[in-house]
Amino acid sequence: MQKQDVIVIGAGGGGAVIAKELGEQGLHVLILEAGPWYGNKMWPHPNTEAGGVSSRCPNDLDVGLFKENYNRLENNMNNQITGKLRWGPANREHPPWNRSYQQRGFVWQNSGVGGTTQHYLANSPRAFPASIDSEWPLTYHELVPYYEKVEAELPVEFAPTTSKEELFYFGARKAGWDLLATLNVEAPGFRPQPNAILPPNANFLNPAYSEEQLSWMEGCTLAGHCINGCPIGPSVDKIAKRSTNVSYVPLALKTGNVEILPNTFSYNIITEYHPEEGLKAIGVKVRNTWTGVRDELFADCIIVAAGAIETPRLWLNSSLPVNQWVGRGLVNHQMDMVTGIFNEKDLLPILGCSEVNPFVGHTSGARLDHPGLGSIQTIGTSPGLMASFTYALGKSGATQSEQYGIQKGRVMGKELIELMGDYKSSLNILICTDDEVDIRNGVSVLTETPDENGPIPSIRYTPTTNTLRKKRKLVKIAADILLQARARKVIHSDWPDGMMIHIMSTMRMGYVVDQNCESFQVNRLFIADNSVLNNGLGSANPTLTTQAIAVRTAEQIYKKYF
Amino acid sequence: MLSSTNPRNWAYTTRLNFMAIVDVLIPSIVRTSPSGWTFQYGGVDLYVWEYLLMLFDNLPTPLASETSQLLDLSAFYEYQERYNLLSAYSFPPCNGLFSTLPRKDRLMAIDRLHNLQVPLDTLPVPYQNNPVLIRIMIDSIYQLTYFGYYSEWFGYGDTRCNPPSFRQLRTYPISWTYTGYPGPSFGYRDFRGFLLKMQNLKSE
Repeated sequence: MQKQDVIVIGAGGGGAVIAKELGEQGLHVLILEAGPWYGNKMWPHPNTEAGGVSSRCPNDLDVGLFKENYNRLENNMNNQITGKLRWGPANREHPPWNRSYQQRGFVWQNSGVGGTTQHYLANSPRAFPASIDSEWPLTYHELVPYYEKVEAELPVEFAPTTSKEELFYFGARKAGWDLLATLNVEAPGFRPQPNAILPPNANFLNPAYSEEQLSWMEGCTLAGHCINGCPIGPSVDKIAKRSTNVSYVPLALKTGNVEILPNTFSYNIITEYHPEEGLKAIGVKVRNTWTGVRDELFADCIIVAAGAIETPRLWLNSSLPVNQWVGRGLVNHQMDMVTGIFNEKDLLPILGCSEVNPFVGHTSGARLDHPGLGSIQTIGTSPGLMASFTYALGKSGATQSEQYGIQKGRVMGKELIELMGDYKSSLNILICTDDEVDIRNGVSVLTETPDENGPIPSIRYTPTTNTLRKKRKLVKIAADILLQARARKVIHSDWPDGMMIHIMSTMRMGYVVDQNCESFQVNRLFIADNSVLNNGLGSANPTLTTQAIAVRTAEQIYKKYF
Repeated sequence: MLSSTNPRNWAYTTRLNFMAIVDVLIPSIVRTSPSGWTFQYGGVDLYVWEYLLMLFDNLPTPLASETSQLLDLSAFYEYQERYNLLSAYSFPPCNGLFSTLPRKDRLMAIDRLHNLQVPLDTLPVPYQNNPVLIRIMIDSIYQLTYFGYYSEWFGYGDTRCNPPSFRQLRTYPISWTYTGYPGPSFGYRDFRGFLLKMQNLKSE
């Protein structure tokens, strides 16, 4: 293996981006990814055989293998314990990697090339400008060119309208909200989701092409499998939903300077004291997840992009200098779900058809943003995910809320069966609250319970009173939109506080890293994942902002060290 | 009941307890519809209890047997309170006790665990004195039961107990008929245009 200029830990939302940017500058980049690589000839059976060691050639990408693995079946893909898109080693004979939770809930992440973007909804809104300008060491204005670059690269476009978006827009207009024709959100309003999904191609409505033929052509087919792992497209680099394994990873390989090692867990950052530079990062200790063989790899700069849980875990397990903000300040957008059930006769005049069909179209195609409170967005999933996220996760049994006239909490038995019987007439709205940073929330490690990669992360999160107040207001807004759209029944799921899907801010810019994402305490150690986000962005999905910052960080690394 | 082709080696009483809990959450019922009466298979008939057992034993610390014991202890306290038995410590609860409760009481036993109304020091490791884990596992039972039942899992037929990479969809999963989900698709042509395009914002 040739000597590396840079090692990137993690091939997810941030790692793939920074590797591509540095590769284009001519730097030799090695990406270490703990999970499997789907759709690469070097690993034809990624979950049952160890396969190859590394890949650096775009010709290794194979869309046939990709489609074989991303087979659109929700249990096969999304089961958190044994599914293809889970948090754990590639080998499905082994369990997921362990975490310890200090509250009800769970962390929903994927390992593998593409990281959690493999099942993300590709939602790519920018942060609310006020959330950056009030607290960050960078201004929103400084971020805009980087947003624009990532938006063009992915690319980002507004979601097309299908029935469920149409219904949401109808309800939002009736509830008095205006269309928000902007990427820079400073006032409340609704809009189509800006997301990284290719628009349907020109022949999409041409009956001469079958749906199966269309699925091999460029462009989204509104198949509804964003969250199950999108397999629509003619080649790996032209898959419709732009997870980083199909967007930035192929671009990184095309530079000829980027090599990726999947199945490689990084468990320790190696540092040394330099008389002029002080403490600096020089390498990484890794463990092969198939063979258990350990190794040490060295480079001029180390970039950690392991995610907002594993990045602080890696810092703590490497015994790097003490910083009271390492692992602290976790936010997760304090999510919740509100669901409307509609009568067929009420849908007909609004939609021209009698069903919402939540499985059709982008999994999340429409949103309403409300600076100061947060966002709400439509979600339409396959029925297993719908049942488990909508009706199973309440903090307690179902109760009727007197305040808003909506039902709240978990349902079961006959009621569940009846509600799922109305699956095709249901519309889910996800709540994403403008979650406040609190130093008491975050990640520590349990030295007494290590796994094969060291002490496991322990996750603690309690929302602030202010966060909960904002969430209640968003729940009310969502319920009102559904009722205005003539929902027969509205159900507020009432999720537990520890449902962690948008996890960020555990290695905050201005506290753990500087504005160039270099550690204040360890030179040549950079971070390029959601953990550097200084706060919850006002509630915007974090991926686009992380990607924009990764592009900026690549510039700074090249300028300073190469 | 539909036939099971690949049973695993869980204790009979552990299976009974998992069947009993799945039966509470998704029972078999007769439904009325405009076209008449229809029967709907519940989670027990579609082997969702087997799905739960496999998943619980695939966790970093296998928990199927311990979870069954947890349910038995809760059932024991339910009986104790109901029949005014003398002491929880005088004899151990028998295996499978939870499954002997009527549906309504099984639900109360689950709620009792969820509300931590059991002496936490009497529970099996790792649940012992671990209220967060107890609640996470109760949540997981609900979540996985619903996910298993309404996803394609039962459609794997005789391959459903195989490791994930060795499963194939053998039949149209019965539960898809209960929701009207047509199954995975190559696409839908419900395209109603764009409300907004990026090019509209170029002047921003």
